[in-house]
Amino acid sequence: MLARYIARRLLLMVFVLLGVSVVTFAITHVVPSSPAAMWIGDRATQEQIDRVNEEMGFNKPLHVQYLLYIKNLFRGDLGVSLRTKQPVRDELTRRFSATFELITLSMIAAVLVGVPLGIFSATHKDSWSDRVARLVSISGVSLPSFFLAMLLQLTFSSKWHLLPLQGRIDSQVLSEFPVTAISGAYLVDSLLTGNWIAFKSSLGHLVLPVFAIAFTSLGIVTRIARSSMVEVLNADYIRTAHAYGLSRRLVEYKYAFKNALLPVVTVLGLSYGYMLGGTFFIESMFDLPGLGRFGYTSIIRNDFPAVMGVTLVYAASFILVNLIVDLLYFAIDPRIRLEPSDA
Amino acid sequence: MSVLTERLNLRYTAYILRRNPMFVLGLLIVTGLVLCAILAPTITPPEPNKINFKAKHLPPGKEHFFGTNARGQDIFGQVIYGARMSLMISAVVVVLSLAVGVPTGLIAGYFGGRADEVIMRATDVFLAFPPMLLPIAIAAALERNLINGLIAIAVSWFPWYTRILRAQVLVTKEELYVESAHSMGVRDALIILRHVLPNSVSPLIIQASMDMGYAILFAAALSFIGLGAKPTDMEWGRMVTSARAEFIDFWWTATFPGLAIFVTVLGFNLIGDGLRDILDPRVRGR
Repeated sequence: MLARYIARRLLLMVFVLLGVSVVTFAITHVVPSSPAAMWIGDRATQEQIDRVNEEMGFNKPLHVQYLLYIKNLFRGDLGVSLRTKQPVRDELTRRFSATFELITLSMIAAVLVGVPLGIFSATHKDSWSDRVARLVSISGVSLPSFFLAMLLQLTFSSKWHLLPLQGRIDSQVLSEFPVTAISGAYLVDSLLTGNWIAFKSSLGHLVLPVFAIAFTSLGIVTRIARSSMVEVLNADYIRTAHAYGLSRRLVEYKYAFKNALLPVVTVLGLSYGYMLGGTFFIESMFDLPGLGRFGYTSIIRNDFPAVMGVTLVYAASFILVNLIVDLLYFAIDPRIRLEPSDA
Repeated sequence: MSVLTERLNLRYTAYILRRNPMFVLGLLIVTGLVLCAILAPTITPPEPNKINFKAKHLPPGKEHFFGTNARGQDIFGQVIYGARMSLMISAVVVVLSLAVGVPTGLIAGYFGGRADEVIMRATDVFLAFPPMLLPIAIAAALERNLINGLIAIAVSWFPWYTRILRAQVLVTKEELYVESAHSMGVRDALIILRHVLPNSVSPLIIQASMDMGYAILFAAALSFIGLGAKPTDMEWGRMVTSARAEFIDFWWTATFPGLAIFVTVLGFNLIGDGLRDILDPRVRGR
């Protein structure tokens, strides 16, 4: 049953990915500017443009270009960046670790703060602390992340000098205590090699970006945790548990909490998606060399293979995370029906 | 009578307002926004877009409540005029999303079958993109201006509307009154317009009221990547973005337009939450 479910989901995922590639291809190829002119630079002659169009296949019909793109995609070839003239795949691989580090930490932060806050809010429903918690969670989804980043830089870096303004690690630290590359994530690598000074510096550089990017998801997680806990606390079996004279603590944390967690798990996928989008803004605000800033620069410079590469990688990882979330949900709650449903 | 009118009687409204101060706060904020938009010419100094390099980077004070920016423009005036732009953004995005989402949702939910399958699989593809990414990608492909940015947002939002409406229509079409209309030989089109749609819109209204705020948020984000408003547009996100190079030294340049976005989005969100209470009693207080 489970195997069939997973197989079905994977099949659907391939279909959706193909759809995603069609959409991204279509939108990145209606760009009015000439990719060949981009490739050569400012003073391109018509002759040069024609030659590049011929070499890169820009003059072929769109559907031929698309089929070629897909063929290359299956070989792991995402094309060549018009701006850097490097294979898009290499550009993405190089920048992956910075983004991965940022998003993973943000996810952990959002869950570790959001779940307890939501639960607290629910168990103190309609109190003032509940109202404040709700206001915090609504603020999370109402504040533009790049503006939050500015406020953080203004206060914590510029005014109080507590945390670095931008960058991934102190360049002086990096030159004196170089981080051995294992995973590419400075935080992990410096930890593994016991390079404490680099670890401290890289952690310090991550605090503000993580806060800025996690705040939206924190809002989402808190809200869902609260509403699902409120619902569970109203359920009959909780009233029964209370009637048996079990302590409030036991009822809330042993019986209610477990069931309240399920909707939180589902919303993690969506939170992850918001974080992916957030990297475009936060990585460029904090000057972090990740996929988001690469995507940002590529958009500014009309570098369509690069834009499509970032879009595809982000969409694929989003789909994958949602699949994992569904499987997790299935693993946690055996009641879930596995009939094909598209509700 | 539709669920809507039934629930909007006065005593009930008064009751709802009393027990939901956050909803009232939301109403106040949005009313304030509308007032700013209408009264902009009378409450701001004349010509907020006027460049005056002699008066650049003045801190907030009596002359300029919110200070001035790098070109000596009055930030208070720009922020107040920004209310007009914001209301326009909300309206355009939500109307466009509804214009596509409502028909597709109705068809998918009411007729089912192959049309449903095709529409749902198409929404799958749109919803497979991380929330902010699709508007960015679409806007990047189009000519860079605010209207295209708004279209890009609407294109990535309408699938949500389709799904929300479809789910509700699936429930509504099983109701007895729909069945009796059928048995009397009423045409499908009429049944949809008279009975199914009015009784299925509640969740859509809640979503749309929240999206009025999110539209402003997303448009501001597009401006930040250079995909939305022009440098001369009085749009809050654009103002924050223009201040990027100077806000560390002149905090007011980014802070006031940014706060305007925040408060407005918050207001629409609180209204959406409140409407959920009013229109859907099952989730009251959650």
